[in-house]
Parts: sequence; C-alpha cells; structure tokens
Amino acid sequence: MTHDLCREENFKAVFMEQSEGLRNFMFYKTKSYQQAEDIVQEAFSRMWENCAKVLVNKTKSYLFTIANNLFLNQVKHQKVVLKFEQRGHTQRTDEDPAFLLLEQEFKERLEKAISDLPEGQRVVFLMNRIDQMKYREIADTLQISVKAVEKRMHKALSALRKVSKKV
Amino acid sequence: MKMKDKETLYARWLSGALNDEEARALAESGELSALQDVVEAVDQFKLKPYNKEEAFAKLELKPKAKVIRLPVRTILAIAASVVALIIAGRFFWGDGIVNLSTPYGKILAFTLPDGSTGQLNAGSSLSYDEGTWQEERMIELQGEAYFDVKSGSIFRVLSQNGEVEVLGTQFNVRAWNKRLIVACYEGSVKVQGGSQQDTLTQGMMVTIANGQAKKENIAQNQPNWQKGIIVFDAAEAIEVLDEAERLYDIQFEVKERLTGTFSGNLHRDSLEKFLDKLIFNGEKYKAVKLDQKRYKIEK
Repeated sequence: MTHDLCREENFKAVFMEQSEGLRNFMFYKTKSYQQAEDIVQEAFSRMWENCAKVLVNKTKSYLFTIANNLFLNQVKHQKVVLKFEQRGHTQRTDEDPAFLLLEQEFKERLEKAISDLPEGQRVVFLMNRIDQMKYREIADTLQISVKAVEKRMHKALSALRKVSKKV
Repeated sequence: MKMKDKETLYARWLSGALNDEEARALAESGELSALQDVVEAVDQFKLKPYNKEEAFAKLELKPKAKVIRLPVRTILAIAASVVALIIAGRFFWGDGIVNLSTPYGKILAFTLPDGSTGQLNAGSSLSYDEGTWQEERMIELQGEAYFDVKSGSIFRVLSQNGEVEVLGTQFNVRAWNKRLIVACYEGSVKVQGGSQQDTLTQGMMVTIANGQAKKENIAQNQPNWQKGIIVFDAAEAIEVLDEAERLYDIQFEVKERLTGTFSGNLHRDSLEKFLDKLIFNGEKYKAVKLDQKRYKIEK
C-alpha cells in the first residue's frame, strides 16, 4: 500500500517522527517558537488534505517544502533574537557569581550573533549543533551538496568566533 | 593549503576531518580557542521542549473518504531551459503533485500539461496535480505569476488572497501580503477576493485590498516584471522592500517599522539606483551595506 498515509495511525507515526525536526528547522528560520509551531501545524494539515497524493517515503521533503513556502509567505523583516534554554545549569550553582554572569553575557552575545547570521548559515549551523545532524543528513534535507553545507558551516563558525568570551 | 579547502576549514575541523597539516596550521593561527569557546557554549544550548502528543492532538484531522487514484506519470513538455529548472528546483510528489518555485532574483518559465504556459516571478511558488489536470485545471499560487492559458475547461488559480477563474486567456496574478492584483491581457478573467467579485476584460486590472476593489485600465500588453521592471504607485514601504529583496536577491534589515509609501520603478539591473532613491513619504532613507547580500535601512 503506497497510499496508507490517509490512515490516521500511519499519519500519526509520520507526525511523531518528523514534527520535531521540522519545528526546529522552522525555529531556526523564523527565530520564533510560536511561528515555527504554527507552521508545523499548517504543514501537517495540508499533508493530511493531500494524504492520498503523498507517498510515505516522500513525506519529509513534502513537509519541508510546504513549511518553507508558508515561511516565505509570512511577513519578513522581523528583527528578533532567537532564544535558547540552557542545559543543566542547576548543578553549577557553586560557581563564582561573577563567572556565571560572564557566561550569561557570552550566551546572550552568541544568541544575538546566531540571530544575525544569514538564514542559510544559521539553519545549517543549528541543525548540526542542536539536532546533531551530520553534514550529509543536512545536505539531504536541504537538497544542497555536502560541500555547500561545509561552506555555510565554516562561514557561520568564522562569524561566531569573533564573539569574544571576554567583555 | 588549497584555496577551496580554506572555505570549509572550520567545518571540517568540527567534524574531525582535517589532515595533519591543516590541523597544525589551525592550531598555530590562534583561532582555535575562540572556536572551541563557541562550540562548547552552543552545545549547552537547547530548544524549548516540544510536546508532540499535544501538537498532534491539536491537529483537526477530518476523516478521509477512501479515494485511491491510479498513478499518472505523464512526461511534461518543458519549455523552460534546463538551467532555469535546475535553478528553480523542481520536485515531483508521489503520483503527480508538481511543485515549482523560484529563488530570489530568478524568474522561471513553465509549461502546464495542457500546453498552457506562464512565468513565475522571483520568490514565488505554484503547485498543481498532474494526475487530475485533465478533469480540473487548478493551480495553487503563492506570490506572482503570469499565465497564457490554452482555451478549454475552466482554469482556476487559487491564492491566499482570492481566486481567479478563466476559460482561455492571458493574465497576471499578484498575491503578496494582503493584496490581490489581477491584470488581464487577453480574453476575460473572473476574480474573487474576499467578498469582492469582478470580471475583467482585455486591458483591465483590478486591485483587491481591505475588502475593496479598484479597477483601472492598463496600457501594456505584458506585465512589467517580465521585462525586469517593477512599477510602484503609492505602494507600502514594506511591500516595496519585499519586492526589492525578491528582485535583487538581497536582504534588508529594518530597525524601526517603516511607514509611508513609495512611487517609482525598480529595474533589475540598477540596485544601486534604487538604494539611492529610498524615499518614503518624502523622507529620505539610507541603505548601508552589511555584506554581499545584506543592507541596513536607516534614516
């Protein structure tokens, strides 16, 4: 059966497998969790509408393209800074407060610098660091070459290394 | 080290793919500790948690009637050059959804299964179902496209801002932001946008925005954008910048929200001239180049 995407349990399986990666990808683009998650909902709704036309093994590129189109259609020029949460900072309460403050400032400068990266570089960089995707997987997802991924990655790192740890 | 390897040096450092000579050169460059600081800090970052179960529950999945279509794979006659196609990126979904899209700065010529042709303006996309094309000529459009439709059954273009219906004719649909602009160059076109409905004949154009329709005559016999010219008449600042981004393949950064309107032309080959004449509501703005593709707009 190639069309069993119209069965809800199969559709749900695809949702469970792909929604988070798609949501992260859209977050890197929009810099907004809300906007990213709205786009994910809309993309999956559209896929459900077209479930008879989408092959199960094509869902990923279908979803990414739909989401990207939705993104392109939204109003741009939003000058926002994307925000991350910090992993396990609770066990570090014994650290020197001045040091923690420096770390916090460094994090904020990095967030700003990541937000200011050109979109293509930001997406590649964060897919690699946050989603821990290999260059090959990123290339497949974005339908570009591994070399292009490496170039974007290099440029991103090159820009971010200028964010000094010292104030 | 070869020049081309330099362009990926940090990326390969991170994936552990440097050769000894490169690794030594990088260590000696003194950049290593800054790079390590960045990666170490970013690797502590995580995203806000995402609740998949909750998100799935919020999807309202209407039950599906069991319809199974036989795969139809017709080879399309493609008028556009191979280069344009590679640039535009062309994908086939399953048994026949065709999706065309154009990156910023590029226009794509396309041919539909019935021989109707058209051009897709920069930063736009359209899709249609090859499998049901014979029964129903229907296109979903995001952005702007020009169509030259072979006569036959009803031909519909759906956009987020409204719908256009024709039998056979030449027309342009522009659906950006909240505005729908349709121009008819031959035959007649029925336009529906919100509560507004209108029929256009040759040489007419309608703009539907905020529930109001404005009709006017046009002198040209093809849209200006096909010639690389965009004409604005008291257009919103934000719309003008959006269009310039698509036309020139650049990005603007705007600090405060721009208000005001702009009248004038954009020419594909004269970005500098456009940036020189950024005047919204009589107020002059400057465009400061940040890098190859990015400009900051300021007073």
